[in-house]
Amino acid sequence: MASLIEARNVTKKYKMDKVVVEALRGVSIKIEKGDFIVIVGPSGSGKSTLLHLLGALDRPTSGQVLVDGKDISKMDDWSLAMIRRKKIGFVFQSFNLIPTLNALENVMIPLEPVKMDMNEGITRARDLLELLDMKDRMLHKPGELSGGQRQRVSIARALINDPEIILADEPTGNLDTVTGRKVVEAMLHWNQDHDKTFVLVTHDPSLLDFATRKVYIRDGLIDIQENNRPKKNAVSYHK
Amino acid sequence: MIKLSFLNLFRRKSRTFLSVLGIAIGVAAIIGLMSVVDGVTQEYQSIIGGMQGVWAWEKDVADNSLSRLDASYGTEIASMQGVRVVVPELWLVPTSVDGKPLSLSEASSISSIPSIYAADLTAYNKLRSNIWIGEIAEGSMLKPGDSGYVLIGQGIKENMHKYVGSTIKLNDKKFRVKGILKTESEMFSGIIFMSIEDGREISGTPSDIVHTFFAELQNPAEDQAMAQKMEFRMGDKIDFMTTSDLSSVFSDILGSFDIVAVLIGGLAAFVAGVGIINTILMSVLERTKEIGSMMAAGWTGGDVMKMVLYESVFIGMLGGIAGIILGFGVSEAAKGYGIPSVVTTTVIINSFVFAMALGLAAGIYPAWRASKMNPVEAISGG
Ligand SMILES: Nc1ncnc2c1ncn2[C@@H]1O[C@H](COP(=O)(O)OP(=O)(O)O)[C@@H](O)[C@H]1O
Ligand SMILES: [Mg+2]
Repeated sequence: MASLIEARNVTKKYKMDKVVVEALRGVSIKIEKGDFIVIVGPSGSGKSTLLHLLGALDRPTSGQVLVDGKDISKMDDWSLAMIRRKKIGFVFQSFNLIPTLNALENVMIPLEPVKMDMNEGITRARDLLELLDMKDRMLHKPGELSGGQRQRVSIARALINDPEIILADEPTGNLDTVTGRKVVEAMLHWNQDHDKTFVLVTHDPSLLDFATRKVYIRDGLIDIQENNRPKKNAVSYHK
Repeated sequence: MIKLSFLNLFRRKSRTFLSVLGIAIGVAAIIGLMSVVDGVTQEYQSIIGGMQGVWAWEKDVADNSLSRLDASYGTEIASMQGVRVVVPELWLVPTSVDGKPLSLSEASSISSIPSIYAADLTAYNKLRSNIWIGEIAEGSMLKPGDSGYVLIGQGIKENMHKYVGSTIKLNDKKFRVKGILKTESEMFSGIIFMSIEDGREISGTPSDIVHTFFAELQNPAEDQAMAQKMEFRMGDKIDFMTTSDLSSVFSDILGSFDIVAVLIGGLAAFVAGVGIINTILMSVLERTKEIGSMMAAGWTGGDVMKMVLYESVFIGMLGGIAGIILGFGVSEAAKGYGIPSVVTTTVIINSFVFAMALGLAAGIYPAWRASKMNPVEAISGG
């Protein structure tokens, strides 16, 4: 069976004026269903770049990225958007919520371009926010929410289209340790109880303990890639 | 998505407001000008449209009140075959009303400036229609021999508080009001109608001088041919105008008015359009990061484009609505100054559609820019 996502020897070069930055220099990685992969590495090592390629947000300079066995590196923008819509949810360090919309409406943003019954969308968004302990904050605007609450709204937004895989770029980067830990626990919950696959990028090594697989990246290359724990119910987390 | 676009407008209220105002002013300018064009057209149809004859003026004068013709021409015109009635006419402005000298600067509007139309009552009463003065609202028509009586327009009634039976002193002669005219048209509401003998008396016009003649024809359809015959006989001294001549002079004037309306409207639209492009482009660039995260969440370039276009169409719609309201104000103000003005449904619908289309057109470039954003750069950039 094909991996959910597979990167085969991908490179990514950014041209800035005359300077070429090689953000990735030949990276291969497989993401399987149920994984909770944690990628660590110093700042500028290419973590975000890799995540964007895995999430069909960008195309590699060379190499292949296969989603469900299909190479996306030559697909057009529209097809990439469709893959993101159906299969992938993103969580960002800076939340990227829309300030004029309340939590519930923010969660429903990915549904806007999808033809779907309004009531069903609202029910889904409500259920997600409830599961993420945001029941009392659904009608608050992002400005009225704490960092941890905002990040949970953005997790709900990533989950609303029921994607198989959630890609999180430094999701705890703007949060204090305790709040950050709670956010990661929420993700673990969705990984273990709802069978969602996660790829987490961070420069916080303490998150490696939760990983099914640890990936170390440095200077655009994967240094070490090792299995850590079996999938499903293997770690305890506190709700 | 519609709600989202709508909310986006209110993030930068003053910027949105300025764009809306730009369109509103353009739309109001168009509505204002068109309402005057339409108003004058309606007015024209109510006054001149009913005329069925030929109007004779002294050759090459600019205005009917400046025309001077020998009274004997009346007999000559009347003698022509096909002419039913000839009415000798005077057009006067009183130098004083009720003893007070008339000062134009004191007149608050066109309708309050009195002007006198004096006609031969015997001839006038033979006409098929009441040329120039229209229908009578109160009181009764002047009959031959009604010396010392006048009919007055609504403007005189309202501004000078005159009623049927009131007296009004024009220059040195006192008159009694015998009737009030309907004068639906504002331009004619300052009219005072009297016999030509009274007109001569108060203005000192000798009995062998007439300002203009109106000749009613047996067959109104022949007006062009009749005017040509009259030109042939008396064309060295007199200009003969038919209803259709008047209407072509008239539509020339209105035509240039129309061009002015289109030019001003076009200019306003251009300025407003540039304003919207700027507003929307700024708001799109400010939201780069948000748009990036929408794309990450599966929005296609087309979805983003749609959102931005909704925003600019909303601005167009708001501007259109505000402009229509403002345009009604302009039209009312014009009426206040006695300028005929009507806002027709066609003008309202056209200007609303125009404002919306303007919004749509101005949104195309910013929407395209937004849809072409690279999601990765958008997310990390903003
Ligand atoms: N859009 C871009 N244009 C130019 N250089 C970029 C761009 N994005 C990333 N880079 C460069 O690529 C390298 C890897 O960046 P990134 O993947 O963001 O690293 P990390 O997420 O590990 O901090 C860095 O040197 C960064 O400066
Ligand atoms: Mg990064």
